[in-house]
Amino acid sequence: MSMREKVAWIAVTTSLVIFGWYFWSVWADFAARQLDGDVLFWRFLWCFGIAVVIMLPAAMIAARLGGQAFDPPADEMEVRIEAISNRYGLALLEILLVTIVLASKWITEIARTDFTIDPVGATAIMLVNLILFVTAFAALVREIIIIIQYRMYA
Amino acid sequence: MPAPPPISNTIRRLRFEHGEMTQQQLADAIGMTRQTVAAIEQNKYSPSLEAAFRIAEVFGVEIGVVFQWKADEEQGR
Repeated sequence: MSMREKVAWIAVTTSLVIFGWYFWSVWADFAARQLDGDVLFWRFLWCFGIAVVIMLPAAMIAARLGGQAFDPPADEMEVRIEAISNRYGLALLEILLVTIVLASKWITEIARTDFTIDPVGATAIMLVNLILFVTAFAALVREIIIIIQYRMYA
Repeated sequence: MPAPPPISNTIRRLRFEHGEMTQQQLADAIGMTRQTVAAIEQNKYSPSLEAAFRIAEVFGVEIGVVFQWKADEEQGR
Protein backbone atom coordinates (compact mmCIF):
# COMPACT_ATOMS: atom_id res chain seq x y z
CA MET A 1 0.00 0.00 0.00
CA SER A 2 1.42 3.39 -0.97
CA MET A 3 2.02 6.04 1.67
CA ARG A 4 -0.67 8.29 0.20
CA GLU A 5 -3.27 5.54 0.43
CA LYS A 6 -2.29 4.89 4.04
CA VAL A 7 -2.69 8.60 4.81
CA ALA A 8 -6.11 8.54 3.15
CA TRP A 9 -7.20 5.57 5.31
CA ILE A 10 -5.94 7.32 8.45
CA ALA A 11 -7.73 10.55 7.50
CA VAL A 12 -11.02 8.78 6.76
CA THR A 13 -10.97 6.72 9.96
CA THR A 14 -9.97 9.62 12.19
CA SER A 15 -12.42 12.03 10.59
CA LEU A 16 -15.30 9.58 10.88
CA VAL A 17 -14.64 9.00 14.58
CA ILE A 18 -13.65 12.50 15.76
CA PHE A 19 -15.77 14.72 13.55
CA GLY A 20 -18.55 12.15 13.47
CA TRP A 21 -18.75 12.56 17.23
CA TYR A 22 -18.52 16.38 16.98
CA PHE A 23 -21.35 16.73 14.47
CA TRP A 24 -23.45 14.19 16.36
CA SER A 25 -23.00 16.34 19.50
CA VAL A 26 -23.96 19.48 17.55
CA TRP A 27 -27.07 17.69 16.30
CA ALA A 28 -27.91 16.59 19.87
CA ASP A 29 -27.56 20.20 21.09
CA PHE A 30 -29.71 21.39 18.21
CA ALA A 31 -32.37 18.78 18.93
CA ALA A 32 -32.40 19.90 22.59
CA ARG A 33 -32.59 23.52 21.38
CA GLN A 34 -29.49 24.35 23.44
CA LEU A 35 -26.96 25.73 20.98
CA ASP A 36 -24.10 27.46 22.78
CA GLY A 37 -21.64 29.06 20.38
CA ASP A 38 -18.82 29.31 22.89
CA VAL A 39 -19.10 25.66 23.94
CA LEU A 40 -19.25 24.49 20.33
CA PHE A 41 -16.30 26.65 19.34
CA TRP A 42 -14.04 25.10 21.96
CA ARG A 43 -15.43 21.62 21.33
CA PHE A 44 -14.58 21.98 17.66
CA LEU A 45 -11.08 23.23 18.43
CA TRP A 46 -10.51 20.28 20.76
CA CYS A 47 -11.75 17.83 18.13
CA PHE A 48 -9.56 19.45 15.49
CA GLY A 49 -6.53 19.30 17.79
CA ILE A 50 -7.20 15.65 18.72
CA ALA A 51 -7.59 14.74 15.03
CA VAL A 52 -4.24 16.34 14.20
CA VAL A 53 -2.58 14.69 17.21
CA ILE A 54 -3.87 11.29 16.05
CA MET A 55 -3.31 11.66 12.31
CA LEU A 56 0.25 12.98 12.35
CA PRO A 57 1.82 10.27 14.56
CA ALA A 58 -0.33 7.59 12.87
CA ALA A 59 1.06 8.58 9.47
CA MET A 60 4.59 8.66 10.86
CA ILE A 61 4.17 5.20 12.41
CA ALA A 62 2.65 3.86 9.16
CA ALA A 63 5.62 5.24 7.21
CA ARG A 64 8.10 3.74 9.65
CA LEU A 65 6.42 0.32 9.71
CA GLY A 66 6.28 0.23 5.92
CA GLY A 67 9.82 1.53 5.51
CA GLN A 68 8.46 4.40 3.43
CA ALA A 69 9.15 8.12 3.28
CA PHE A 70 6.71 10.17 5.39
CA ASP A 71 5.79 12.59 2.61
CA PRO A 72 7.23 11.32 -0.68
CA PRO A 73 6.77 13.38 -3.85
CA ALA A 74 3.74 12.23 -5.82
CA ASP A 75 4.36 10.37 -9.05
CA GLU A 76 2.19 10.83 -12.13
CA MET A 77 -0.43 8.22 -11.20
CA GLU A 78 -0.77 9.69 -7.72
CA VAL A 79 -1.09 13.19 -9.18
CA ARG A 80 -3.85 11.89 -11.46
CA ILE A 81 -5.63 10.23 -8.53
CA GLU A 82 -5.38 13.44 -6.49
CA ALA A 83 -6.67 15.52 -9.43
CA ILE A 84 -9.72 13.31 -9.97
CA SER A 85 -10.60 13.20 -6.27
CA ASN A 86 -10.06 16.96 -5.95
CA ARG A 87 -12.39 17.57 -8.89
CA TYR A 88 -15.21 15.50 -7.40
CA GLY A 89 -14.58 16.85 -3.89
CA LEU A 90 -14.70 20.44 -5.09
CA ALA A 91 -17.84 19.89 -7.16
CA LEU A 92 -19.54 18.31 -4.15
CA LEU A 93 -18.45 21.18 -1.90
CA GLU A 94 -19.81 23.76 -4.35
CA ILE A 95 -23.17 21.98 -4.58
CA LEU A 96 -23.45 21.66 -0.80
CA LEU A 97 -22.50 25.31 -0.19
CA VAL A 98 -25.15 26.46 -2.65
CA THR A 99 -27.62 24.16 -0.87
CA ILE A 100 -26.79 25.87 2.43
CA VAL A 101 -27.33 29.28 0.87
CA LEU A 102 -30.70 28.14 -0.47
CA ALA A 103 -31.60 26.69 2.95
CA SER A 104 -30.59 29.81 4.84
CA LYS A 105 -34.13 31.21 4.87
CA TRP A 106 -35.43 27.98 6.38
CA ILE A 107 -32.59 28.02 8.96
CA THR A 108 -33.47 31.59 9.90
CA GLU A 109 -37.10 30.55 10.39
CA ILE A 110 -36.03 27.73 12.73
CA ALA A 111 -33.86 30.13 14.70
CA ARG A 112 -36.69 32.67 14.95
CA THR A 113 -39.27 30.17 16.17
CA ASP A 114 -37.17 27.74 18.28
CA PHE A 115 -34.38 29.96 19.64
CA THR A 116 -36.36 33.00 20.71
CA ILE A 117 -33.77 34.22 23.23
CA ASP A 118 -31.06 34.76 20.61
CA PRO A 119 -32.27 33.94 17.09
CA VAL A 120 -29.42 35.83 15.39
CA GLY A 121 -26.77 33.95 17.36
CA ALA A 122 -28.52 30.62 16.71
CA THR A 123 -28.63 31.36 12.99
CA ALA A 124 -24.91 32.08 12.95
CA ILE A 125 -24.12 28.91 14.92
CA MET A 126 -26.25 26.75 12.65
CA LEU A 127 -24.81 28.24 9.46
CA VAL A 128 -21.21 27.96 10.67
CA ASN A 129 -21.70 24.35 11.70
CA LEU A 130 -23.45 23.51 8.44
CA ILE A 131 -20.50 24.99 6.54
CA LEU A 132 -18.09 23.01 8.73
CA PHE A 133 -20.13 19.88 8.13
CA VAL A 134 -20.22 20.16 4.34
CA THR A 135 -16.50 21.02 4.27
CA ALA A 136 -15.66 17.96 6.37
CA PHE A 137 -18.06 15.80 4.36
CA ALA A 138 -16.55 16.90 1.03
CA ALA A 139 -13.04 16.24 2.38
CA LEU A 140 -14.15 12.80 3.57
CA VAL A 141 -15.67 11.94 0.18
CA ARG A 142 -12.47 13.17 -1.48
CA GLU A 143 -10.34 10.83 0.67
CA ILE A 144 -12.72 7.93 0.01
CA ILE A 145 -12.42 8.53 -3.74
CA ILE A 146 -8.63 8.44 -3.36
CA ILE A 147 -8.86 5.06 -1.60
CA ILE A 148 -11.27 3.69 -4.22
CA GLN A 149 -8.94 4.71 -7.04
CA TYR A 150 -5.89 3.18 -5.36
CA ARG A 151 -7.84 -0.06 -4.83
CA MET A 152 -8.90 -0.08 -8.49
CA TYR A 153 -5.32 0.34 -9.67
CA ALA A 154 -3.97 -2.25 -7.19
CA MET B 1 -11.60 3.92 -13.78
CA PRO B 2 -11.58 4.09 -17.60
CA ALA B 3 -11.35 0.92 -19.70
CA PRO B 4 -7.84 -0.50 -20.02
CA PRO B 5 -5.93 1.14 -22.85
CA PRO B 6 -5.30 -0.92 -26.01
CA ILE B 7 -1.66 -1.20 -25.06
CA SER B 8 0.23 -4.27 -23.91
CA ASN B 9 3.65 -4.31 -22.33
CA THR B 10 6.53 -6.67 -21.70
CA ILE B 11 7.72 -5.16 -18.43
CA ARG B 12 7.32 -8.42 -16.49
CA ARG B 13 9.47 -10.32 -19.01
CA LEU B 14 12.02 -7.50 -19.20
CA ARG B 15 12.31 -7.44 -15.41
CA PHE B 16 12.86 -11.20 -15.46
CA GLU B 17 15.56 -10.84 -18.12
CA HIS B 18 17.30 -8.18 -16.05
CA GLY B 19 18.16 -10.39 -13.12
CA GLU B 20 14.63 -10.64 -11.71
CA MET B 21 14.54 -6.91 -11.12
CA THR B 22 11.83 -6.16 -8.58
CA GLN B 23 9.00 -3.71 -9.15
CA GLN B 24 10.46 -1.60 -6.37
CA GLN B 25 13.87 -1.46 -8.08
CA LEU B 26 12.24 -0.42 -11.35
CA ALA B 27 10.11 2.12 -9.51
CA ASP B 28 13.18 3.62 -7.82
CA ALA B 29 14.99 3.78 -11.16
CA ILE B 30 12.22 5.79 -12.81
CA GLY B 31 11.15 7.86 -9.79
CA MET B 32 7.75 6.25 -9.22
CA THR B 33 6.08 4.20 -6.53
CA ARG B 34 5.97 0.40 -6.69
CA GLN B 35 2.16 0.64 -6.86
CA THR B 36 2.36 2.71 -10.05
CA VAL B 37 4.80 0.27 -11.66
CA ALA B 38 2.47 -2.61 -10.72
CA ALA B 39 -0.50 -0.76 -12.26
CA ILE B 40 1.46 -0.12 -15.47
CA GLU B 41 2.63 -3.74 -15.63
CA GLN B 42 -0.93 -5.03 -15.19
CA ASN B 43 -2.09 -2.62 -17.91
CA LYS B 44 -4.41 -0.81 -15.48
CA TYR B 45 -2.67 2.53 -15.91
CA SER B 46 -1.16 4.12 -19.03
CA PRO B 47 2.09 5.90 -18.19
CA SER B 48 3.03 9.24 -19.67
CA LEU B 49 5.32 9.27 -22.68
CA GLU B 50 8.17 10.43 -20.47
CA ALA B 51 7.66 7.55 -18.02
CA ALA B 52 7.45 5.09 -20.90
CA PHE B 53 10.78 6.33 -22.24
CA ARG B 54 12.30 6.12 -18.76
CA ILE B 55 11.19 2.49 -18.42
CA ALA B 56 12.65 1.63 -21.84
CA GLU B 57 15.89 3.40 -20.87
CA VAL B 58 16.22 1.32 -17.70
CA PHE B 59 16.01 -1.88 -19.76
CA GLY B 60 18.19 -0.44 -22.53
CA VAL B 61 15.64 -1.13 -25.27
CA GLU B 62 13.48 0.88 -27.66
CA ILE B 63 10.11 2.01 -26.33
CA GLY B 64 8.36 -0.27 -28.85
CA VAL B 65 9.92 -3.29 -27.18
CA VAL B 66 8.32 -2.32 -23.87
CA PHE B 67 4.92 -1.10 -25.07
CA GLN B 68 2.87 -2.36 -28.01
CA TRP B 69 -0.22 -0.71 -29.49
CA LYS B 70 -3.09 -3.23 -29.73
CA ALA B 71 -5.88 -1.10 -31.21
CA ASP B 72 -5.97 -3.11 -34.46
CA GLU B 73 -6.41 -6.38 -32.57
CA GLU B 74 -9.23 -4.88 -30.49
CA GLN B 75 -11.07 -3.72 -33.63
CA GLY B 76 -10.65 -7.15 -35.18
CA ARG B 77 -12.53 -8.87 -32.33
